[in-house]
This record gives sequence, C-alpha cells and structure tokens, in this order.
Amino acid sequence: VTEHAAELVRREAAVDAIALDAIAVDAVPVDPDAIDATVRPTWRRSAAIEVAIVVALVIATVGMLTSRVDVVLIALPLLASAAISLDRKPSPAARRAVRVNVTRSLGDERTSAFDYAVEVDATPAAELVHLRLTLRGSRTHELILAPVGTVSGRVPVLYSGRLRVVAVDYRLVGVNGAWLSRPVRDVVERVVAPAIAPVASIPLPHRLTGLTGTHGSARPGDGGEFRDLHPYAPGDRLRRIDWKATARRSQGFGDLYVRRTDATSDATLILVIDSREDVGERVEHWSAGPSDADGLGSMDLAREAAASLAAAAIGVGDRVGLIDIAAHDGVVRAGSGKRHLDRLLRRIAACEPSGPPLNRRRAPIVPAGAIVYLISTFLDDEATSIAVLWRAAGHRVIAVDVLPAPRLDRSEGNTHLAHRIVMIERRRRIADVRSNGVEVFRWQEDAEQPSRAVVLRTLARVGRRRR
Amino acid sequence: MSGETSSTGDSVPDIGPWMPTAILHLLGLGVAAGLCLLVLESPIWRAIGLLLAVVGMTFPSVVPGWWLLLVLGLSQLWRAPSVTDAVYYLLLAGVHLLHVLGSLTRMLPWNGRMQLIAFALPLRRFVLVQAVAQPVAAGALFAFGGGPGTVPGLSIFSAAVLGVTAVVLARGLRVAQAHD
Repeated sequence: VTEHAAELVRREAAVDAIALDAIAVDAVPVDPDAIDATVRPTWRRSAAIEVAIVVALVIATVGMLTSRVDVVLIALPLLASAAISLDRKPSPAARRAVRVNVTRSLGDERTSAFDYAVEVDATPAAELVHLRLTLRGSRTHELILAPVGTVSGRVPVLYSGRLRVVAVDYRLVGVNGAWLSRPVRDVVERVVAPAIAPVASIPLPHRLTGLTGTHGSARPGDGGEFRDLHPYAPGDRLRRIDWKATARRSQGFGDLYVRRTDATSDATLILVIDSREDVGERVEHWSAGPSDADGLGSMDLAREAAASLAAAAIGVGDRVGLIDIAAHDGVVRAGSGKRHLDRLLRRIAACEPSGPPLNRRRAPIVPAGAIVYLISTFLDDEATSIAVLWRAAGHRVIAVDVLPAPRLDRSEGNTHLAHRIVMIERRRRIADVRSNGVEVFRWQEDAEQPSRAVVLRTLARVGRRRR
Repeated sequence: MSGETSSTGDSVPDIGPWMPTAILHLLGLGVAAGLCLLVLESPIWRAIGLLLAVVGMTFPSVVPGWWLLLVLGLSQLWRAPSVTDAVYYLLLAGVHLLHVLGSLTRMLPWNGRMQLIAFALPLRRFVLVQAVAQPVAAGALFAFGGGPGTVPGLSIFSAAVLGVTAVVLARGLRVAQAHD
C-alpha cells in the first residue's frame, strides 16, 4: 500500500510537470502523452462462490436423502459454476492496464475541449471492468466494460486554471463475478490557460520613467510628439533647428530656435492577483469552495483579466510583472517580450486558491513608477489595505473587481441576508479605497456599468492628462 | 473489435452498443418471479419466493436473496420427476441463470451502462454449462425414470457425481489458496 501510494504521488507530480509544461501562449496545452495508470490488481474472492457451493450442497444432499436424481441434478450447474470460478482465479502476476489519454482539441476561439480515451486491456483473467468515470462538468458515469476496449468522449473546457479533467475509478471482475480486484483511482489534471480578451486602451502610470517605448512622456527627448519651440542651446542637434520659426522669431543675429519633442517611454505594470479565494456565482457555495455547478468563478475572471492586461501591455512594448499575494513563489519580475509573456501566462494559468488569509504589515515591493493592477474580489480588508499602502507610496493603483455576478435564485432567506451584509461591507470597502485615490472597475461586463472598453479608455485618458 | 468506439463530441462517454445495467437487475427479478409462479404451487411459498426475489434483486449484496435458489431448487421435491416435464428443465436453467445474474448484479450499479459485448462471456459460459446439464438431466431422468424413492442406484450415481465435483472443488480451492 505504501509503495502504491508513493507511486501515485510520483505520478501526480509527473502529471503536474507535464501539465505546466504543456501550456502554450494561445491557451493550448497540448499533451499527447498518456497518463499511465498501470497497476497490479489485488484480487479477493466474492461471496458468490461460497453461496453457490452451500446452496448446491444443500440441494444435492436433500436430493440424495430423498433419492431424487432430478433434485440432485439441479445442484450440478451451481457446482460447475463454483468449480470454474475457483479454477480460474486471476493470476496475481498478471498486470492489468487502464490507460487514460487526454488531449486538447481546439475549436474556434470560444469552444475548445479535451478529448479523452480510456483504454482498457484487462485480459486474460478479468471478465469485466467496472469503470466509474467522473468528467469535469458532468455527472459520474458507471460503466461495465469488456476486458478489452476503449471509452472515448469529450469534455468541454469552460474554465481556466488547473482542472481535473477525468477521474477514473475502476475495479476488475473475474469469472462469474467471483473475483474482484481492489478499486484503483486515477486522476488526470490539466492546466488551462485563460482566454485573452482584447484590451484597446490600457491605463498607464502617472509618471513614465522608461528610456524608450511607445508612450509619450513628460520629459523632452527624441521620438515623441511635438513639445515646443525652444531657443537653441549647446547640445541641441543642428537638424532640430526650425528655420521657419527662427526666421519668424529671432530678435537678432545668431538667435536660433529648435523644435523639441517629447521623449517616448515604456511603462511598468505590476499585476497583483489576490488568489486567496475562489468564489463562484452561486452565493450559497461561497464557503464550500468552487465546484462545477457554481458557474464562472472569481479566479477565472482574475486569470482572464491578468492575462488580457499582460498581453495588451506587452503588445505595446511595456514591462509587466506579476505578484500572486497568496503564493510564496508567486512573483514574476517585470519584463517584456514574447518569452516573458509566455512566462506570465504560465504563471497566471497556474494561479489557484492556495493560501490562508494574509496578515501583511507591508505591501509587496513594486518598481518605482509602476502602475499596480490589484485583481481581487474585495471580500475582506486585506486587498484594500495593500492597495491603500501602494497608493500612499505614490503608485497609481487600479483595483480590478473580479467578483462574479451573484446568482441567488435558489438560495434561502438567510443566504440572501448574509449576501446583502457582505455586499454592504464590500461597497464600503471599495468606497474607502476610492477616497484614497485608488481607481476601481469591474472586469465582468454587466448592465450596471459601461462596457469594459469604455471604462479602460476613460481610465487611460485620465492617466494621460496627469503625466 | 470489442468496445472500440469513436468520439461523440459531447461529454457522454462513448462505449459502443450498450444496455442499462438496470435491465440485468430487472431480468433477474423477472426470471425469479417467473420461476416462483411456475414451480411454487403453495400460495405461502409463492409469496415467500416473490419476497425473496424482490429482496434479492433490490439488495443484491444481501445474502438472504440467495435463499431463493434454495427454495426453488427444493421445490422440485413436490413435483413428480418426468423426462417430459418442461418445467423441470426451465427450473434447471432458471436456478443457474439466477446464480449468474445474482453474481453479476452484486457489483452492478442500477444506473450504469453495460457494453453488450461485456455480457457475452458470462452468457456463453451459462449456455455451455446448460448445454451439458440439460442432456445429462434428460438422460438421468430417462435412465432412472421411476418415482420418488424408487430410483435404483441413485445413491451410487449421486455419490459419484458429488465425488467428482468435490475433487474439482478441492483442486480449485488449493489453487486459490496457493495464489493467496
């Protein structure tokens, strides 16, 4: 048992490694390798043999005592069944294999799925295989299979993050159901990268400190928009002399005017994911943890928001870093480029509820002049207190609210009341951070606020005025 | 090829031709009820038999469900042996079939799906055993076709049958214990 448990742990670690390595930029974790679920079954005898022998012997004995050959003969098939069952005990040396293959199949941008195939090869001893198949987002399927065959199907991918795609519990059944193997469990998990929503305008820091980039900064330099006309000074390039302006403005011989432009700069964005909890649309399940029945979860929205902002920012040449405030190893230093985006997306996809409540006295350190995107549900004071600390340090902080729209249609009265109280607290909390200069917007689009594109454009425009 | 299937495009696993496992449970119940009505003439025993049938098929893992085999098998004592009695041959096959179905349904969930091909092996074994048992029964009844208590040589015949069976069972038990 200990060896088997150790083997399972090793296998799960291998699965994790494979799954994490399988993520591509376009949310395509492709892993054609099978998860080997070969196990050595341990057989035990069921009660069917004993029952058949006892019943048959009683009938045969009574038949003999009463000299009734017809009665004795009724016991014959039962004894024959018991004898066959005993004679064909599955060999403990034989290895049985149930192999689960899971591959990602891609549809269009909105539909994708995992194709799974459970390959069964339990010959020669097993006569049947009892398979309990639990699929992501579906009920459990009880299947009785022949010893050789394949079960295949498709699991739609609705959410991101680490998903348990297929869980297989199986046991082998020997001749006439007289022999049963101990149940074996095998689980296949995959990490699904989040969808990347288009972000046309991205809010930037109040002060751009980079030396090169695509955003116009407040300091003079090369490459940006027209800034002003300025008297020539030593160090100005001769090609910047504006001869028309010089002819118009010069007061005396030797007065020259140069055209000055704003410098261009890149921005540094720090995405902060509050992954301490994952709450779904079903309010009554908030304290029980997420499940398939909960619909969209806050972590799904958080991963989507982080991935979208990261892709948009790196697309225009900005530097992006990541902090998962619930994970000890959840920091990705700011960087830019395609490979850095891959690294970020892998880390974002792997974010999952992992930690106990935080009690930070200091906010995590972020680079000077960076804008902080704090992605949280704001169901407690931790995230808001950190946001206020960053704001007090001079960073522009944008709080991205990823609490999904609640569904209370099947909730009881006390759930309604509790939800109402929690929401009042949350509104107060958000109002507090707003009053401290933190800008807040909801990632999930609904009828209560303008579209996400409009909100982001407005925030981007506000930031541009201040720089 | 048994069980070879293709993807269906939805989340319901494709296992090829299948039947609900509830059919096996209901088949067992039907066979048991039919045999009870056929061979148990006393209303009390018929009621007991039907009750055992329902209990046995509703709770397959409960051992008292197997008592029905005993009741049905011993009910032959109240019937006159006859080589032309079709009910006897039905009883011979029915008791065996109930044992096969009972062994299987002990581990089959009610809400499962079973590949049709998966039922082939137990069914084939049942047919093979019956293919031997039915002619042997007919021959025995023909050879010793007297009345109750008037069968000459029955003790010798029965002892021989039981002796052979005991040897086979003892060998099977030895093999099983050696593997344990």
